[in-house]
Amino acid sequence: MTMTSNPPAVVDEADFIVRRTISIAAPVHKVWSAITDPEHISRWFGRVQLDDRGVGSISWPDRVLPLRLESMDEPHAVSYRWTNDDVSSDDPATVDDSHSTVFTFTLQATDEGTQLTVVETGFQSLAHPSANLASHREGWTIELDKLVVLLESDV
Amino acid sequence: MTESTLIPVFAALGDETRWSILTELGEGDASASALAGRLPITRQAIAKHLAVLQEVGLVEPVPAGREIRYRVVGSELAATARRLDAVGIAWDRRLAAIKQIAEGL
Repeated sequence: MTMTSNPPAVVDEADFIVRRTISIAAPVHKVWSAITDPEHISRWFGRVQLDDRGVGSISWPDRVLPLRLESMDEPHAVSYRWTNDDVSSDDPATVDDSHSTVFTFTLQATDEGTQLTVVETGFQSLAHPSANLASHREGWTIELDKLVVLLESDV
Repeated sequence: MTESTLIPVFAALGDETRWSILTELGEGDASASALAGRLPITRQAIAKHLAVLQEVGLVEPVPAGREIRYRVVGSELAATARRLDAVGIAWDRRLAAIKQIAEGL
């Protein structure tokens, strides 16, 4: 089965934004589940743990980032806030509101399945906006490619 | 290169993982994800280490199509080595002076 090939994420340096829009050959409800259910997020991104207030973390074996659910409008949009500064030497235990970015996924049904857009904003609040913009740009390109593979494989 | 710029370089070098990243990059430019495939570290952690190395000028990003590859900035490492050499030479001189004084007493 051929996976959908999507253009990479782009950086808007002037507005401190990273964005990417991709097509996924899967229905909206499946994509929604993949970006909101912690169990599913961990299959393409990182291990997500959130309490009933939406406060928690996303982690990999060698890095833990604080994560917070900001808003949810099922099944159209979901926003998360995190302090994911690739330049600072330590990751804080909780989201530092004055040093954080917000990434929002929006979904739209298409003839082929779903169009997903991720927009991450707030890089000007980090100590090194430019380096983080570049790093997160690469991150979204890689992570969302994994999401496409996951959703388009019948696993 | 002044001492104030040297100390952050040593702080960046003082980490086993970053040494292994620099060693890998010595074999050729690579992206964070390519490094993650070769080292027992996730892309998320590598991104962080690369940013630390970039901050002190030891590596630089090189856009290559849809990914960013990183390249070791040899001149920065060489400048650090020269600085250490200078420190060593200064101590050689001091030790020679001590030897001369001691033998003259």
